[in-house]
Amino acid sequence: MKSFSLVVLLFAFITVGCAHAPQVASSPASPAASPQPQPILVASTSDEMPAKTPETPVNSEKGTVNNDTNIDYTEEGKEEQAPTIADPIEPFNRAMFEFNDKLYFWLLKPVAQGYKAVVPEEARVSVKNFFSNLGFPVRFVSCLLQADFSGAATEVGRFTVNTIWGIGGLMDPASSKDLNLQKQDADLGQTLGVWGVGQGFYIVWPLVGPSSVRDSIVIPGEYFLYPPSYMGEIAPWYVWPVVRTYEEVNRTSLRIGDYEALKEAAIDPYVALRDAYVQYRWKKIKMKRGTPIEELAPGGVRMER
Amino acid sequence: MTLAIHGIAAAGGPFGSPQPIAREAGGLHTAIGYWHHEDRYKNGTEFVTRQDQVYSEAGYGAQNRWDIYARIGVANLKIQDAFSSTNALTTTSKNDFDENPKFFGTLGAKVFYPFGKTFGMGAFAQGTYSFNTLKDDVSGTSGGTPYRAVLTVQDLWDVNFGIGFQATVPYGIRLYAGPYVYYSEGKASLSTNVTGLQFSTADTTIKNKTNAGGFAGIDLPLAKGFRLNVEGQYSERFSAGGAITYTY
Amino acid sequence: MKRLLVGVSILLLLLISLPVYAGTPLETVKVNADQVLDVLRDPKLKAPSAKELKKDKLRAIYVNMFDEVELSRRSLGMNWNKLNAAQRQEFVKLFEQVLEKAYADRILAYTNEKIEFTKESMTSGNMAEVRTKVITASKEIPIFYRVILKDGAWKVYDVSIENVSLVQNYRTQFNDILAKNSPEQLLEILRKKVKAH
Repeated sequence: MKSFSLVVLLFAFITVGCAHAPQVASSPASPAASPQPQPILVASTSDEMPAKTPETPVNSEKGTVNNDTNIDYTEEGKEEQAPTIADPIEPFNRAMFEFNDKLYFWLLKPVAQGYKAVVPEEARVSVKNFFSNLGFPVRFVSCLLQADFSGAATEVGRFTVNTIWGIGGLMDPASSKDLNLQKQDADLGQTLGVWGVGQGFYIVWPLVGPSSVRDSIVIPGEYFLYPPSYMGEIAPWYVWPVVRTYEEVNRTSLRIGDYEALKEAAIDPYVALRDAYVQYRWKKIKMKRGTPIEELAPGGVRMER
Repeated sequence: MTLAIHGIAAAGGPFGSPQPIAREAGGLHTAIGYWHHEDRYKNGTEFVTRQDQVYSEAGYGAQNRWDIYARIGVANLKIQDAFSSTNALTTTSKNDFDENPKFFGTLGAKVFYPFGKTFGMGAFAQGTYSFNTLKDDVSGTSGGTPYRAVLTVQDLWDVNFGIGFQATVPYGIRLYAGPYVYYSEGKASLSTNVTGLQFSTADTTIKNKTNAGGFAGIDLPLAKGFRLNVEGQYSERFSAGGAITYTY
Repeated sequence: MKRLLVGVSILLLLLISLPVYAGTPLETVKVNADQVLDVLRDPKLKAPSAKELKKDKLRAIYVNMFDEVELSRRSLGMNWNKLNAAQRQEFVKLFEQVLEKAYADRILAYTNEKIEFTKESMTSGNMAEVRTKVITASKEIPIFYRVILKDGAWKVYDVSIENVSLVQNYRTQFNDILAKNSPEQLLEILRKKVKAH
C-alpha cells in the first residue's frame, strides 16, 4: 500500500541532525509522577496502577456505545506512556509551521514532482542511499556515545560494504537479507535523550521543520560530522547548500503524498505533526534506553525502568 | 640518449572465472581487486616492467551466459633499467622508470557455455586504457655534460582475448585455466635536455613483445554473497592478483 | 522469548475458558489484511467506476477488523467522559468517516507492495501487538496493530505507523481542541471536516 505514514514531513524537512528526539516529556526518572500542563493526560497515572483486566466491558453490540463505559484509569494504564511536549512558543511555532507548509506546497513539492517525473525511482533511491551512506559518521559516533558497540560495529560494516561493494554508497547491499547489517537509527539528539536529557520544548524551525530544544542543540555537532559540510573546503561556498537542497528534493520526491496524508487525516495538522514528531523521537530513544516494546513482565504489567 | 624502451605492457587485471558471478536470473555484481603485473622485454637488454594496480569493479550479467563489467582503478608503472645506459660515459641518477599510481579504466565482456554441472567453457575480451600520462625523469651526465631526460608514456592501452575452461568442484569452487592473446600499445616520448645543446625529443610507439600467454585461477564463495577470486597469468613473466566480489 | 511464551500460555489459558476459539492475534490481523488485499487486487474491480464498490467492501472489512468504539474512546482519552451518549455515538461515526476520508485513497492506491507479518506479542492478558512491514520499492514501513480480545475475537484498537500511534496522535489533537472548545463544538469541527472535499 502506498505509504499512509503520518510522519513524513519530518523526513522532508529535517536537515542532518536537526529534528531530534523528544523524550517522554518529563525527565525519565519520574515519568508517572509529574502532572502535565495539558488538561488531560492519562499517562500521568499510568505507572502507578497495577494491571487489572478491564472492569467494565464495552457493550459488545456493534455500533452502540454503552453509557457506562467511561474511561477507566486502569485501562489507560495499560497503554504506553503518552509522551508530550511543552509548547510555550506556540504562536511562533504555528507561524513557522505555516511557513514550512507554504514552502512545501509552493516550492519543494513542485520541484520534487518535476524531478520525480524525469528521474526513475531506482536512481532516486540510489541517490538516497548515497546520502544515507554519508550519514555514517553521525550514526557511528552516536552509537559509540550510547555505548552501543555492536551498533557502532554494524555501522562500520555497513559503510565498508556499501562504499566498496555498493558502488560508493549508491547501492545498499548491507541491508540485504544475507548480510543483514541494518542501519542503526541513532543520532546525537537521541544520544542526549538516552543519556537522560529532557527534550525541552517544541520548536519549529523554518526550512528545517519540527524540533525540540534538545534536538536543536546538537545541530552544530551533526553539521561537523556530516561529510558534505566540508565541501566548503574544496568547493565554492554555494556548493554545500545546493547539495543539501538536492538531497532534500530527492528525499521528498520519494515521499510525495505523505505530508498531504498527514494533513488530510488531521483535525489540527499543527498538533498532529507535533505529536507525530514527539512520538517518533520518543520511540527512538525508548528502543535504545528503556524497555523494548515487546518485553513485558508476565501478567502484562508494563513497568518503566 | 636513445630511447631504451621497446616494449611495454599494461596490465588489465584478472580476467575472472569464465562463468559470470552474477546471479542466475541476471543481476549486478561489484568487486574490489588487486593485481601485480610483470612483463619483460628484450631488445639487446632485458627490461622488466612491474605494475601494481587496485581497482573497483561493477558489472552486470546472468549467471550462466554473459557478463559485462567495468573497472576503474589506479596503477603505477615501474620499468627496470629504463634509463640505464651502456655507454660508459653516461651516468644516470637512477635506472628505473617509476611512476606513481595513475587512473585507468577497464572494460570487459564474457560469455559462457556450460557443458553440464561440472564443466564449462567461456570466452572473454577485456581492454584497458590509462587515462593519465605516465612520466618519469632522470638526470645525469653524458660525456661530462649534464642532461635531463623525461620519459613520457601516453595513451597506454591494451586488449586481451582469451578462452577459459572451467571445472566446478564441491562447495561452489570454480577452477579455471586457458590461453589468451593480447596486444598493448603506448606512445613513449623521451625528451632530453642537454646543457648547451638543443632540446631533443624522440617519440616512438611501444608495443608488447609477446602476444600470448596463459592464465589460471580459482573462484570460491565466501559468506553471504561474497566470493574470492585468485588468478595468475603468465606471458613473459608471471603476474597474479585477486579480487573480492559481491553478487547482488 | 520466555516472556512471549508466558504470554502465549496465558492466552492459551484464556482460550480454554472461552467458548470461542479466537485465533491468534496475528492470524486475525492477517486474515483481515488478506481480505483487504483481495479487494485491492480483484481484477473485476479494477475500473475507476468500481471505486465506490471497493470502498464499500473495504468499509465492511474495517468494521469487522477494528473495534471502532474502542478506537474512538481511546482517541478521546479522558475527554470521553465529557461526552454524553448521543455525542459519543456521533463521535464514533464521524471519526470513522474522518479516517476513511483520510486513508481510503491511499489504500486504494496500493500497487502490489509486499506485506510481511513480522511478530506478535502479548502486551497483557487480552491485548497484543501484531507487527507488520509494508515493503515498497524505496522503503520499508513498519505498521503495528494493537488488538484487544473482545467477545472472543481480536479487534484492532490502534494502529502505529512508523512508530507513531494513531490513537495517541488524535488524542493530542482532541486534547488541544477540547481545552478550548466544548464537545459539541468538537463534533461540529468533525462534521465540517467530513463534509469538506
